[in-house]
Amino acid sequence: MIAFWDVLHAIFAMLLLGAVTHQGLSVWRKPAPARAFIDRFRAVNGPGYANAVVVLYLVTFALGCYIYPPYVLDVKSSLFAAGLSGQVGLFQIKEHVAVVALALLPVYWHYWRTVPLTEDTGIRRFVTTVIMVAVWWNLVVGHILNNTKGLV
Amino acid sequence: MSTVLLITHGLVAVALIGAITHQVLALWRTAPATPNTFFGRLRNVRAGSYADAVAILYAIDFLLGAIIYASYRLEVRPYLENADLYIAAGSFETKEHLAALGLGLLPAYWLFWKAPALTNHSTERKYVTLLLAFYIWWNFLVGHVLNNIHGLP
Amino acid sequence: MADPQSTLSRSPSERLFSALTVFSLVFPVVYVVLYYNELALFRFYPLVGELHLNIQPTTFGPAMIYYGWIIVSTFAAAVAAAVVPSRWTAHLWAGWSWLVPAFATLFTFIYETRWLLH
Repeated sequence: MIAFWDVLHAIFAMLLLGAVTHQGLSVWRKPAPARAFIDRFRAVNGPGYANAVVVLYLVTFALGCYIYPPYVLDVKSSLFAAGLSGQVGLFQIKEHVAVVALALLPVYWHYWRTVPLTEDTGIRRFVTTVIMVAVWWNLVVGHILNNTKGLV
Repeated sequence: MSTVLLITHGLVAVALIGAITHQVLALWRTAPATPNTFFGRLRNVRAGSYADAVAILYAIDFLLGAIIYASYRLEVRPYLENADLYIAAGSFETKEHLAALGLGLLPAYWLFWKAPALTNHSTERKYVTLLLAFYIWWNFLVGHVLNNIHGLP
Repeated sequence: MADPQSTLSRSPSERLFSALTVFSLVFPVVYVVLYYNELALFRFYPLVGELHLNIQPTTFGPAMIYYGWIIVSTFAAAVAAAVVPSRWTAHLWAGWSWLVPAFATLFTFIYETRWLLH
């Protein structure tokens, strides 16, 4: 059953990654006709993603919290036993990064939904980029850890 | 090295799943998308513009999967068989077959999206795209579950 | 050999339609026949990293025939796409392009239920 929750966690993470990457790249884009694939990827309505990113982040975070105890019991102890303390360290960073991004969500939502888009562009860019990098980091580290020892 | 290739395989698969899911939802919608909802925005795309990206991403992901398949055969499958996890091993067999069938389907997929004289084949375009999306999702989920059971060294 | 008359009399888009449709029709059929009968052009032994045309002793480790299936199916489908005259496919129902792979998919799932019998 825990594998089901882990896969669900990954699917929500994938949706979140798509949404936050669309938005994170759009916030740095200068207005121009979108011709290439990457331009079309970036030429989206950034504010439209804010609610989705917040909801997806919360769901993914909650699912991550739910599967965390089995990780500590089954995976972390196995990694230590195998002398893979570097991978344990990567996961420790992942959990801290997840919390930092969680704490940024209210600010992130505020700058996308209540502040006019013509104002505070720098802050909006910074906050969105931090959340985007956090989501990417956590997905890649989670994938590496899952490959080393999965939850079953 | 297998781990790097596996992670890359997974990330390319995420991009591929995003592209084909956008496309198939846009293609199969029966009513105009509600623009202000998440699902509406997911569907409210120009489906045709994804065809090249899907074809290229599929080919790259297939190639990466074929490279790491040797490691799977050496490390994972013997483990599954020794642990009597035959359903998991069989699921991977379906994954490899569906990946190959998807590769064979790509020319028809590309044809129905990109050949300008064939715009009247909307039904075929719908079913070919749906079939390809099914292959991609199935392979992603099976790959993830298999990776949970035993990763590549 | 392709019929030169038919090739000349068809427009490029018709020839493209014919070639790509034939490829996607032939590929799944050849692929299913190959894996069902375990027909191998060659075997790859990942433990030693060698390709062999014949079965090797167990000291070589497990053999993989998947790469051979892909290469043969691609080659067979490409040859068929090149040689089948487009006039033959002019009246071909386009729906076969998804129905044949769909049948191959269904067959694959039924065939692989053999793993449930272990």
